[in-house]
Amino acid sequence: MKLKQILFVMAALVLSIAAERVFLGAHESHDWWTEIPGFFALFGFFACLTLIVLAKAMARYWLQRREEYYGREASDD
Amino acid sequence: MTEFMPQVMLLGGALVLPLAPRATRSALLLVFPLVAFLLLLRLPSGTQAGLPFLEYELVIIRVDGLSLAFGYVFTLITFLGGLYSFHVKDTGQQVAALLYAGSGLGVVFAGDWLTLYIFWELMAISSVWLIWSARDAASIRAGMRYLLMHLFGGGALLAGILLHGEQTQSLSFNALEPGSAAYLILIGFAVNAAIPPLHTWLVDAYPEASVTGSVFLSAFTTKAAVYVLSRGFPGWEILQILGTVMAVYGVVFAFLENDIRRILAYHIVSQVGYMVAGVGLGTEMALNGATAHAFAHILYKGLLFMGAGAVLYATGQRKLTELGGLAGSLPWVLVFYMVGALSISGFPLLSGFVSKALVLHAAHLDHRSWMVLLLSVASVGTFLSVGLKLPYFTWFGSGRSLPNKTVPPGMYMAMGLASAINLAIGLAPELLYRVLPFAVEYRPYTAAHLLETIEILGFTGLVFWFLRDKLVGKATITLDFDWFYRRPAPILRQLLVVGPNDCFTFMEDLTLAVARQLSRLSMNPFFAFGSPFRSYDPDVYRSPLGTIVLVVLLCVVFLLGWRFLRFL
Repeated sequence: MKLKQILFVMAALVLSIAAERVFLGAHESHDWWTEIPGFFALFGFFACLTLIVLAKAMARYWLQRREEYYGREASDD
Repeated sequence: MTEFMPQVMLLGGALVLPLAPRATRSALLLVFPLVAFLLLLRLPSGTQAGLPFLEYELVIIRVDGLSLAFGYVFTLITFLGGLYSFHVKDTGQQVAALLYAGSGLGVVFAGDWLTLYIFWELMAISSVWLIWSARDAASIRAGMRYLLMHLFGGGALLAGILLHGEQTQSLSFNALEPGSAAYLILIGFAVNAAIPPLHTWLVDAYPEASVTGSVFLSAFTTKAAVYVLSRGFPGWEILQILGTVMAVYGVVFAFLENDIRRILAYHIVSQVGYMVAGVGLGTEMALNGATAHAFAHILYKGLLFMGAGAVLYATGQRKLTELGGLAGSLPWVLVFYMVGALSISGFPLLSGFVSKALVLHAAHLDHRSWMVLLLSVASVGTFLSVGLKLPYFTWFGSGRSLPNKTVPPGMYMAMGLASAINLAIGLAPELLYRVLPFAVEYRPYTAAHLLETIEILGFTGLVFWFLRDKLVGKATITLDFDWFYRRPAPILRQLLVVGPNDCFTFMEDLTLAVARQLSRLSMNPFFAFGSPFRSYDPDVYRSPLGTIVLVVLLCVVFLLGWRFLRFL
């Protein structure tokens, strides 16, 4: 990641936490982690990143095949 | 008789439509579902109606909140699909669509297992016609695999129903207790709900269907399965796990796909996961959530398939690696597609936001934190593939594809109407909450929920934007569970078809060779000692006359000599 991108993410995170402070009062919650400031922003960021990396790795080392793998029917329609 | 009318409209309509003048058939495909929808609105909850059959009283119609919610949306999407396929002049497809919708309606109103089974199988048969109507080799083969999977599921269901009928002496369709009959029925339902590893028929066949056929296909089979699961298996804990797993499974595989309609098909698996998980929770809130999500899902998934279908119709392309730069030529398709894409991602003000929230809230109330987190991961993946990657590489990106056909007005009207309904449900959730089976006390638009959603989706968007150059599709396929029957198929064919065939051919050749040899020998025993001649030629080969005269003479001499010796 470039420095500019890191700064951009940081700015968005700060903005999210600020919004949480302004708009959310105390609300009951079952899970301690929802109390972490900016939790959902970090969750979205890392869930997306993990999903991409895991899926790509799984495809590359295990599941990806050329299009004609099951015979030519897939490509000659 | 009025209680039968909605189904008669669709199933009877399928019989009437081919008899009507060709020019009116497209219009009839709109009229029948519309009338059925209006009739359903007047059908009071609690109605029951049946027909006697052998010693049983079949309950063909059982109306309550749950079946009505599915009935409304089934007829609604049939109307939208009819509008979308207004330009199609293919009677087979029109009849199949009506039959499919009618049997879907039959499933959600069935009050006993036998009626359910009959409509269940009718649904499989009529839907395969929509796959085959693409009329190419790939669709015929995919349709065949689809049919085989559904025959397997239908077989498990029938076995379960027979066992259940014998054990309980009743055919009435209600919640099941764990037992062998229930497990068999669950397998039958799981096939149609596309629960991995039984989901492969869906992602295999839906992308091969005709452009208009896939809109109908995306609506009925899986959602009818969600209905029967919530009727027969509410609160089964295994469904919580299966549903959550399939929600994540679908998004992972969708992310790796290159075919736009297969991406959407994997997201059916993922979205149905939310519903199955809701059914597994089994509380009133969760069943409401499953029903609401099925309702909204039919509307936005139909819209997404309409958008992807319009791209395929106009350009003839369906792969991300071949598409690109359509923003200039198909801007309205992009707008309508994005309404569907933001709905499925659960953006505020759209239908997915208010339906998905019910399921998540139900999981939250039941203290299923793992489920809430994993379903949120699925939301992230949904927005990534359907909301960002697919539209970016289809309408923008570096590729340049040009439409060579104009999109017919009926398609635009259907997409516009579907977008409007999705927006209406998002803006006024009461519209949707009012048709749910149980009373709803839930407000989706709270500051906490809004902020949470915006943060999750916003940061997903950031990651996509940073990595977009690395996410370009590849012209590959990804192995899935269908490997287990598609890969061994050539080996099985060798073993069961080609092998026995070769064996028969060999035995036939052997028998013929023996017969030929015997006939040669009987023509001339001298062949046993080898022959100087390649082939038999009677003129060359026949023994000279002298030999025969000699043999006869010797015989005569022998006989005479023998007689003579006897007389001595």
